Amino acid sequence: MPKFVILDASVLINGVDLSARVAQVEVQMNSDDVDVSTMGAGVHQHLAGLRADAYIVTFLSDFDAAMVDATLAPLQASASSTPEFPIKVRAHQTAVSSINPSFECLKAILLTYSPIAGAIGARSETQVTFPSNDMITRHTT
Amino acid sequence: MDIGVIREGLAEMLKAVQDGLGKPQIFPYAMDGPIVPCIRVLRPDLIGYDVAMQGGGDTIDMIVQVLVGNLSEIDSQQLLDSYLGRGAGSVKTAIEQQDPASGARSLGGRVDDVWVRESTGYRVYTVGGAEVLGAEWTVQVETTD
Repeated sequence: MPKFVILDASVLINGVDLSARVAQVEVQMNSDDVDVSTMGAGVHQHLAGLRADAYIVTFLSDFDAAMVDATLAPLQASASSTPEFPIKVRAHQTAVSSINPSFECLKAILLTYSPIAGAIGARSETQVTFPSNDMITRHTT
Repeated sequence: MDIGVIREGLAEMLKAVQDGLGKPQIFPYAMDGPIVPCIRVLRPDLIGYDVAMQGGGDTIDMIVQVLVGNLSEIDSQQLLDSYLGRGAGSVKTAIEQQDPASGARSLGGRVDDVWVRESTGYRVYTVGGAEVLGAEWTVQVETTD
């Protein structure tokens, strides 16, 4: 697939397609940087540590049924419950393929959620970070 | 986003202005030879497409214009003052009426949200060769279809 302007990304949170309320999305696939430097090397040496994957999504606020707040609020973790739920993100609405991979996890969690966040006159948006308790994996089928 | 529907919605909401002074005629489009006082949904201005993924929303600025009459007449100035304010006959208050069912400012359910962002204040326009006192408002409309 050639270069593109991102306009039609697909974002499914716990099976709910919230794409049309997503203004920005980022898939982060990170490993901790573990320093294993030794004497005489003269440089820092690195090994990959634990994965720390996450999705960062900016939603346009919507309190209608089956939209942003109705989907996210029940997923918020508390001291007694940490719901884990799947997230699937791909760059285009078209079917998953080798040129439109889907980045998926099964155990995303929601620790911090601001249902209302905005200054007067600004579009009501809220940015949410979904850490993943498993690795985000790349699917082509 | 159907701009014609937005024009109709603005014109319908603006009927509330007729409860105030002046009983202006209201037009959803700019027309030649307007008889003052009148309110016209003049034109769409800046349009922002795709504020969300998959065509999930657009933002459009609509320009609403009021023409009240001779700029040296006190009546014209009092009329324009009422349109510019927030009391009876206010253009801003009329457009931002809440839908009784949903509580949303939605032009009668036609759009997601509407906000009268600013007004030019007093301006003088040339209409049919005559100078006419008036003002314009910028109305920010949010849509999702």
